Amino acid sequence: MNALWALMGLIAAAFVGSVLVGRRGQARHGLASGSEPVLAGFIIGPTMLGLVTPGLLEVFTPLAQVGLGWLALIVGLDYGWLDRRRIPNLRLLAGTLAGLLTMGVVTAATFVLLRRLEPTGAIWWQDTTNWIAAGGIGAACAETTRHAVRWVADRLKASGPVSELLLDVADADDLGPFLACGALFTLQPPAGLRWAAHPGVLWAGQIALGVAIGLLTALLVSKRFRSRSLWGVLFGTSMVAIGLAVRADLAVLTVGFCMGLGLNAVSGHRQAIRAAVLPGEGPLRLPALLLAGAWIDVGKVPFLAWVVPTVVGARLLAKALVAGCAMLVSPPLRRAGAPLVPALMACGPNSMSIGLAFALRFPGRIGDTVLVSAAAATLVGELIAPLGLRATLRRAGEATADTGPHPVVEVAA
Amino acid sequence: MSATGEHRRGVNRGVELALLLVLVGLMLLAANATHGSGRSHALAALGFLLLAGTVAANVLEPLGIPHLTAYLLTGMAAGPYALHLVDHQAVEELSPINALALSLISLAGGAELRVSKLISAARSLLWATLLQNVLVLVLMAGVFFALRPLLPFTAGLPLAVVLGIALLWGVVGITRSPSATLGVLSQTGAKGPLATFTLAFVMTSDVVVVIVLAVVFTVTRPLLEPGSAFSLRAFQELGHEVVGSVALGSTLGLLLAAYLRFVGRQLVLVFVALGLVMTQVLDYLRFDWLLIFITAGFVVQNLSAQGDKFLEEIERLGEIVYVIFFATAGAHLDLPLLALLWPAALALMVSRAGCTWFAARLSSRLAEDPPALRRWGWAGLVSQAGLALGIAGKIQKEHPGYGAGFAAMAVATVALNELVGPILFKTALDRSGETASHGDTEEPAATPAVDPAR
Repeated sequence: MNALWALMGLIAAAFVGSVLVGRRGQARHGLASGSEPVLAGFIIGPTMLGLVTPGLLEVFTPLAQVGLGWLALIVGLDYGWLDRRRIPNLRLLAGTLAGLLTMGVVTAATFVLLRRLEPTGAIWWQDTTNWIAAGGIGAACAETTRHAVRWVADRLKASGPVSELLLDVADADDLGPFLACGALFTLQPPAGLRWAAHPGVLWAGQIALGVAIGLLTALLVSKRFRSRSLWGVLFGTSMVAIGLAVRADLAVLTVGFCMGLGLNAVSGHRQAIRAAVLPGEGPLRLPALLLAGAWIDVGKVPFLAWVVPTVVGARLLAKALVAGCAMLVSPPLRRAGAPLVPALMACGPNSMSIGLAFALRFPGRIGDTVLVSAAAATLVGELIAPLGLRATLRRAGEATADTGPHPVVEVAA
Repeated sequence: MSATGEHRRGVNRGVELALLLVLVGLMLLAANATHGSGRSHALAALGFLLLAGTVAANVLEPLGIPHLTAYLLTGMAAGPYALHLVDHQAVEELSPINALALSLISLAGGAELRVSKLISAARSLLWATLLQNVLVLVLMAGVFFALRPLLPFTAGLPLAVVLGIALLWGVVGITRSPSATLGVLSQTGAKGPLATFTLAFVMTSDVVVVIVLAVVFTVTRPLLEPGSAFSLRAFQELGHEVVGSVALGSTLGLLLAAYLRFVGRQLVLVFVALGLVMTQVLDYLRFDWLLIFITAGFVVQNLSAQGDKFLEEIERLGEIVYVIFFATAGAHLDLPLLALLWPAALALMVSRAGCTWFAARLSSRLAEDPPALRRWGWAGLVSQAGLALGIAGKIQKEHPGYGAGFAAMAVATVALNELVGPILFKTALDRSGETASHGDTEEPAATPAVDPAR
């Protein structure tokens, strides 16, 4: 496959994505997590059909970076909000803690495993290679995707405190992983930087860069608000943010997310900006996920049979802890019971984005391991989370309709 | 306009200027702190050019400088010969984005040509096409011949060869810039005989120039290559290119019209596919994709009911497209070369403007044009851009001996015309009263856009 055909494929994927997003308000087709393109990419990638070669993927690296940065910007812009509703601070805190707890448990379990499988000889706190790999896997496996929650809730026509709480927590748990990416990226000195700096300084620098560009965007938008100018300003500032991050080998996801946060925090035109940005989500998410799928090469991941079960097991344990804590403090969730654990296992676009970001920044063992782990977590989530979510919402008494027992192959009426 | 409103605009422009300086500082810091590859530079360069161009256009607006000129100046300032915020490799990396922008500009240009307007301006167009192409070509060839002491690359060449080169320069002299014309019209929202005539003339002149180039190539070959036989090969190639491009463009136009009628969504992605992929395929097949897109736009506008919807979709991207295209063109300008060749380039530029003015006066008189067109009809025909450089590049390729000097002179002259042309055209539109009253004004924040939750 040459670059032109591949580009046409990506544009076609973007078109399909835009059509799917255009169906907002109706039940969405396809998989609950919205990860179908990962599967498509995996099929055409080196593991299966081999239609996409590593050299070809290299050509699309800038496009992948733009897609990742823009998706992170959207997540940051939407952080703390569910459409037009502000998520209460307590739930934001709970969601953030849930994400951090999951990330911590998965990171710890994977780090121990990687140290045993591939001893580097370094003291454990100085073993940066394994910290980056384990931390990346932890960050990629931290989320509960709101796409799946919404997918199931739409099908069951569910509404009430539990579905609302799940959506809020799913939105809030993105903070930790997106910021952690920035920290992990600095553990290996960025090749793009001329000056050496302490990882902490670099991490703070990424956050400051993102927030500063977000504030600059907010100022420009407030001074010159026209729908056409708005797009130009948003596109321009986001390209500057993404471009500077790529140029310095920093985390595009962290910079994009922080830019969205900065914009979210100060702009009085948030809804208009959101309306301008959201239509781009589908056309960008699909090609980015397709590329992520095509980047997966399971043959390059050593000890796959050990890593995947450990990651999935640790994630299950972490989500059980999160569910237990949630049930302790929230009476409506208590009614849901055990199915809440698989319900929280849903993950998808954000996990795969983090996986792809690591694959781009750390090509080789680290990147491949993080990406394959993210894909495995997404696959397991796809298999069990819709069932768990259904049972949770039914037990909570919020489901008013049910269109079938097997959500994976279900198509909207 | 109230004093308060004026004051508020002044403050806003001051804030934008400060933000632009912050952005420049950020880019300078990044340039010093990092050493990435060209591809990674291109992303930040793209964003910077877009943002800085947009802000600079707004800041310079009170001086009457057209947005296009502001974009060009931004590109020149940020480019590899000045602040070096955008390097050579980044400019090269942005060429696919330029192809995308140019394809959109061509589609918009074709779609702006309505048959009814063309018929109403037919008399003016016919006289102008004849005189602006034939008379200006001959006059510019004469000027070039007369200025040969200022042109070092003609030194020592036999007079017959210099005459051949002068005729080729005449062809460069009759090229115009559809992108600059559309850009100024997009900014000013101008409507009227001057706007209609200029647009129609500039769009059709692209086809005429391609034909004239083939004729001049054929005629000058015996002069430039003594001993070579008179050959009509150029016409064979031209037939393939023009007829094939028009046929392909018509088909594409019908397909686009059908898409608009039956699907009608996500045109942006269709434009991206056309601009990024189809341009490559058509280049490979040796078709003129500019002509294809102009024809396609024309077909959508005149052979379907989808013209307005089509134009509206393109205009939604207009602001981004023009900024990127002209800012990148500015970054591309070879300033050291311009500094070296400016006396000859200035003389050629002024002569060309004079010849264009003379031909316009003559054609207006013969066509009995309305007063606005008589007075200002020439002003929109001064801008030059890609086509002139393309022809110069072709001449350089075919005649490597003096071609390099010829192309360098063309680059320098086009640079001046590119800077001055939009200013002249905007002034003409303003003076003739065709500029829309709200064309340049900022819109206040729309009430529903403000977040109700805050």
